[in-house]
Amino acid sequence: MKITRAHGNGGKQTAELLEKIFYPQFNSPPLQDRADASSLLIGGQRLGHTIDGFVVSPYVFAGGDIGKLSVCGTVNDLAVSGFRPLFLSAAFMIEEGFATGELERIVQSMQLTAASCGAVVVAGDTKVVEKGALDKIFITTAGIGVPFHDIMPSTARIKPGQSIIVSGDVGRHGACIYSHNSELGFTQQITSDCEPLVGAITQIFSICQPAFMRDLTRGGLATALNEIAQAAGCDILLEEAAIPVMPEVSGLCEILGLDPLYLACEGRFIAIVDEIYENDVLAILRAFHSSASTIGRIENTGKGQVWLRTVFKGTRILDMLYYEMLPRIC
Amino acid sequence: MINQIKRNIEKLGRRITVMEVCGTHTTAIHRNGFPSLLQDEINFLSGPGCPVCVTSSSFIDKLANIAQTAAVYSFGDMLRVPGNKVSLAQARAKGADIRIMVSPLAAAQQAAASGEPTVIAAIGFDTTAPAFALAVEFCVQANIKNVHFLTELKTIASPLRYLLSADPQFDGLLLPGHVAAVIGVQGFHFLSEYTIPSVVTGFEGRDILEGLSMLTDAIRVHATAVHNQYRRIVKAEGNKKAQAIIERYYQPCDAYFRGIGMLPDAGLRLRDEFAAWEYPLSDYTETEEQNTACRCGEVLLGRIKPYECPLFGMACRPDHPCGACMVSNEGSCAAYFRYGRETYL
Repeated sequence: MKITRAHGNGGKQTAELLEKIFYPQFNSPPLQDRADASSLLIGGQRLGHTIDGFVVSPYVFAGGDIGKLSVCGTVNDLAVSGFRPLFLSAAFMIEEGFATGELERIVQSMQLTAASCGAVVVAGDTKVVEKGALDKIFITTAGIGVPFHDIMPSTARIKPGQSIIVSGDVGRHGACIYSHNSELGFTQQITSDCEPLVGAITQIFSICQPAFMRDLTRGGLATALNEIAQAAGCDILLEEAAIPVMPEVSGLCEILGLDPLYLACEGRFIAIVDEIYENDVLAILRAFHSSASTIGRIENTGKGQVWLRTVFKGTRILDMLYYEMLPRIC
Repeated sequence: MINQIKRNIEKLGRRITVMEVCGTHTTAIHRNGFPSLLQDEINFLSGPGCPVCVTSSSFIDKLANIAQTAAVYSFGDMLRVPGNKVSLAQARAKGADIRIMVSPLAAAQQAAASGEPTVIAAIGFDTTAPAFALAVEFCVQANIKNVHFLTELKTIASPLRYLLSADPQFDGLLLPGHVAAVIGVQGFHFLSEYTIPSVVTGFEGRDILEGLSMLTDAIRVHATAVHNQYRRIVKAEGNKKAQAIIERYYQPCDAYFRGIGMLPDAGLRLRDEFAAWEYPLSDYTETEEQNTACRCGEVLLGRIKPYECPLFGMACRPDHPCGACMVSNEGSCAAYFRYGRETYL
């Protein structure tokens, strides 16, 4: 079998790659936990560690660039796993011919983003490859953080009746990149949702210990919820009408035949909390994005399926992403 | 609206079967959860209106073959459709030059600027044909020599006639609004030769419910004319400009429908005077269709439901599809699997 782009979309085929190649070889307990960030115990101190690679094209887009994105990705993975990000490292792979001015701008935006979450870049590496060997610039970042609280978010703490809250409208980063790359020449530029989540999550930990959180990256809301439902072994019931999607995003999706629930976000997360904390968590999140909303609940039945009650009150499955979302014919 | 449909059915006194001709409708019906809302009232059947699903697997073989030596532009939802040997996505992973296009004109312009030998895969129904005609017009007017088309465009009228002539097992038809936007309600007038009512319907959930309400009403009073729910878009005469550009560059031809076979005047090919822009396939030998256990053909004709195929959800799933209907965004097997498999498996 050959690697296809579907192996990199964060959906079912990525999962197969993990199962068949990575997990059997790197047979370590923290990796087997399959969390966004690994929880490590070093000399009695718990630390969170994660790493993420960024290959976005175009490397500058409305609302951010590959530098901001690469810091957000890593600090957000740490934060939703319950760790305050402290130290970051970054590796740059650069295509020969790339302008140093552009590189400087990217590095500046990394520094700004890291500083805004109280994180410091403490190690780095630079490689330059011959022209054509990669597309302009790829960045990999890794990060270390310390727990916000002794009680960590975990799928084991997901219980029936808990509320599922999304921190803002979904699908915007994916839609932004599609509208940049589409030859249709969309005049209305959709701004990416790329942003660090550390501020909002710090505030949530000041009022409660969320059962579980996940940032919505590749594969979008639908993929994240399917992974959670399977890991927790509970069904999830969502209200379609409550899921915030910007009209510009749904419009683009309609034209291109995409589904916003599967589009990547880079600055949105879901928090699963006990119902008694729902309103307080919503109030915190709405100070950042007024569209933050409770979108569903953990059900007390089922075997790990995500169900969607449509705006017409019909019910259907909200499935995993099986392959790269592809623009349709008609 | 749901209640109106339920009242119509109650007056009729029996559960009815509705065929949605178009794959976009199938997907929208299931995505909106209508089968769960109307399970006692309506049995939904999918028809032959998914362009990817009715395309022959040998068309995929041809494209994969051409992409060894030329750039091939294809719509994205063709990529994972299994050919007899490989899908375009698999061919691409092995190094074939296959590119996803959204607009055929933009693809033609890009290819013309590059000067590389390029083939544009022209598939789709009446809705999509004008977009390809614009790309052909650009190549003809600018006398572009490096861009060719591999054309398997289809029209919806012929397969509908085929369905209605062969003892149809449904009470009414939901007709595709986007096809009607091009050919007009008049393009479907031949349907009044048959006794089955039909409604040209849009694709939003509300459109579909209104279409179903009109259709159930028409079935109740035996109003066999073609009705139009999608009035805000679809005119009686259709889009004259789109019709004119199709007419200028294409002429009808017999066409192969996967699962049905050859149908008379069911396709479009470039007119003889523009034949220089059709990709010459003189040295190509057809391969036989494979996957004999796959019952896509019967699914496309509404003779069986996707879950009645023995491969559905077992050997055939979205991550390893046996037939096009499990791959396409508009495919009925994909819609049944993605939105409702708990109910069927």
